[in-house]
Amino acid sequence: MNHDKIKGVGLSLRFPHFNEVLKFKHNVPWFEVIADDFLIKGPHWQKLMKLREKKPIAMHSIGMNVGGVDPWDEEYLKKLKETYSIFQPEWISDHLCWSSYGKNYHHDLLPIPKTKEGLINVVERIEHLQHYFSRPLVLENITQYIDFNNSDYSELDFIKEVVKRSGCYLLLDITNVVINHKNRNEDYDLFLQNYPIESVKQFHLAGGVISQQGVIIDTHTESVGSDDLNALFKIYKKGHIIPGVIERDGNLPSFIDLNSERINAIEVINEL
Amino acid sequence: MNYEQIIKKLSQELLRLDGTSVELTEIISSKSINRFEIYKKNYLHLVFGRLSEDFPGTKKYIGENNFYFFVQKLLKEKGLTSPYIFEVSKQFKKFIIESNESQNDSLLTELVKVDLMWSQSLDGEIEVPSGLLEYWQGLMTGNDLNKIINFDIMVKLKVFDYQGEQAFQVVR
Repeated sequence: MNHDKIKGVGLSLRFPHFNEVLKFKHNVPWFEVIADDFLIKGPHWQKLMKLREKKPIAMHSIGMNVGGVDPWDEEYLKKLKETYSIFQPEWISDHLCWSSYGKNYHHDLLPIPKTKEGLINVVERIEHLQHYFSRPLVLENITQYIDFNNSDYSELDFIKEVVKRSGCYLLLDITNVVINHKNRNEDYDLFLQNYPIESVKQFHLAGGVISQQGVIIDTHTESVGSDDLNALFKIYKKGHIIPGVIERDGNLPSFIDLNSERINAIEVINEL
Repeated sequence: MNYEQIIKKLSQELLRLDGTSVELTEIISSKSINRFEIYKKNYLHLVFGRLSEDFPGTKKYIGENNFYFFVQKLLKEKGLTSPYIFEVSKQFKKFIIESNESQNDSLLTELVKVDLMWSQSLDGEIEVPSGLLEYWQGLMTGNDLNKIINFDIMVKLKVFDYQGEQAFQVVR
């Protein structure tokens, strides 16, 4: 993997922005795209080919079911592998979660029970995937709204063990960390201070909403909050200048406005 | 409960759209029971949003509440059986066509075909009753609806690219 090509704060790219991204000059250094959107040849397939010639990309997927127990969906993995081969992303990522059971696909990022058995399962599956794709996986921490009764590890210790045993890399979703801790009235600074940052290849920042019950939901529909930017600033201040993207999936502004938000975020971090 | 049993139980609970079983407290904290509903809402919201995008004509024809009814029914009775989210629309089309509630509504079972072909730019051709395309266009644009739909005369439609814009073509 050539990580040098990916630097700075980029954007997650969704279909409605493709035309503008290709048409207008801009200074977005890199893009993250959802691999699952390109498993079949759709109208945006050629657009991504064009973009790939101009900008480095990383491919993020949502369906590997890393923490699941179902047999592998061989067809899905084969399509992912072909897609990576075609678009040559700088790295490939998915989530430290499960998403299906018994051929029922929930299309959501569901939390892994942090037990010894859960750890062994996920490490074995990561090793299988890394062997299959012949490259390390980059795995993202998710938003977790529920707490399990019986856990052998804290989230942080679980992540550290996963990295240590599997050799995978991490995608640090700062917003997910902030949301999880705010929803539990806990200190996210301490969590981030102890995060295995040397294994982090990339960060995510996004914006969520507060539900009627007062729970912050990771919707990717709003601008990035100041606490999240501040958390990234603290990581940068320690000399860990990791690249990352701002994610936006709903309530989508124009590409120009989203890029302005990206530039503003960088300015805010620089001014802190 | 071992790891697989926990995953299985959580999956079963997610598929039960109404309410959450108290048995779940064996796995998650009592405080988390209410928050588990967030995952259920996410699931329904995701599928409803995806199908609303892919079936705009159908949704306008039957209205939001009826559309929601069909989405919920699909999830309760069938669940999602593909790792590809775009496949849910194919599943939904088949579900509507085979559903008891749509058996006396030929227009509905034809509209889902047109919607899906349009939204997913499908290759090939579909056969629909004469006048249905105009009716669908009326739904999409908010213009007057064509009332003359002849189910005895079928026409073939295909999607094509016209100067960079997607369009329907009646195949002669």
